[in-house]
Amino acid sequence: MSARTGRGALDLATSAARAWTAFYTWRLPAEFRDDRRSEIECDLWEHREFARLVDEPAWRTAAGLVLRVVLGMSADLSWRMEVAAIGHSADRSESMNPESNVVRALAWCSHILVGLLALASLGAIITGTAAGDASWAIMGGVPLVASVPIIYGLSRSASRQPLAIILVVSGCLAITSFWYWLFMFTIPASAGLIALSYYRGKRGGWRTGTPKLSG
Amino acid sequence: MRRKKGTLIPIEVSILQAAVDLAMAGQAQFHGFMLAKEIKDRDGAKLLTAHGTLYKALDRLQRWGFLENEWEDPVVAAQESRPRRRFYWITPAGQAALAKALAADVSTANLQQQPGPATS
Repeated sequence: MSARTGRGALDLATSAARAWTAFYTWRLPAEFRDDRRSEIECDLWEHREFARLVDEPAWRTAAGLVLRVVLGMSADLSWRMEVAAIGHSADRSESMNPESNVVRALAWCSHILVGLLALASLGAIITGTAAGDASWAIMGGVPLVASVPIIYGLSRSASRQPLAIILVVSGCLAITSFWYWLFMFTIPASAGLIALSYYRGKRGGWRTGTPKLSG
Repeated sequence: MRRKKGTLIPIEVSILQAAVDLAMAGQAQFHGFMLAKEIKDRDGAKLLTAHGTLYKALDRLQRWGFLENEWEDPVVAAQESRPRRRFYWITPAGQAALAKALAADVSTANLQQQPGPATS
């Protein structure tokens, strides 16, 4: 392997390590996130510098870096869960709102499912438009538009009620009534989404997101 | 790895042991990569400790009071054109925990070396 290719691989490995760190620290409390990112940045620099001093081939350093990232991934994720739990327990004094991992996982899964629905709808619009069939564009357009308030409502359901639940309900109603012949799927799915957003809002103490001014 | 209550897992023992070794070599304060290198050299491992494993264990040891840490002065790092280092050092509580873990290891090893009861 040429030196240039090796250096390219090393740069790529460094970028991958940074991207992974940015990913698993995303939306963590700032003190944990910034400390971990700075610490990994320092480690990457020291690792590369040490490899340069001992004349290690760049491809070998790149492979070592990738292995260090990959072998530590499960620890990174479990650290994230620990730290998120600490962050939540710190928030508890303000909101009394510890959200369980199950609820968070359900919220993530719901986002992904509704996102997939939106993508499928977009695909239907593109296919219909390409084929000159307007009915496909309408079939895709309504769920695509309805999925936007559902996704936004779900993402804000823990912090901004009752707006969030209104958005989720309206989006679900639009999809359920438009695809009425699929009621055996749309009704339970809608009920689940509404229940989830209601539950998250209830745990969040029905905060409106608007700070109350005292005095 | 599942932890027995009140014990250290091997990576935590390795970190504390490396911290003591570095201190004895005149390097009382160390950063993450230095520690990974020390553990690799000491254990004769082929690979450096993974980022996630190392920094998660450091975080835990620090929360338990076995390590202390401090971020380097950003001016020093900027003068040397490199990222800021986070320095760690072992506390007396960390030394005591290490001594306890090593003593437990020795007694376990002694128990394993003792011949079992005759079964004939």
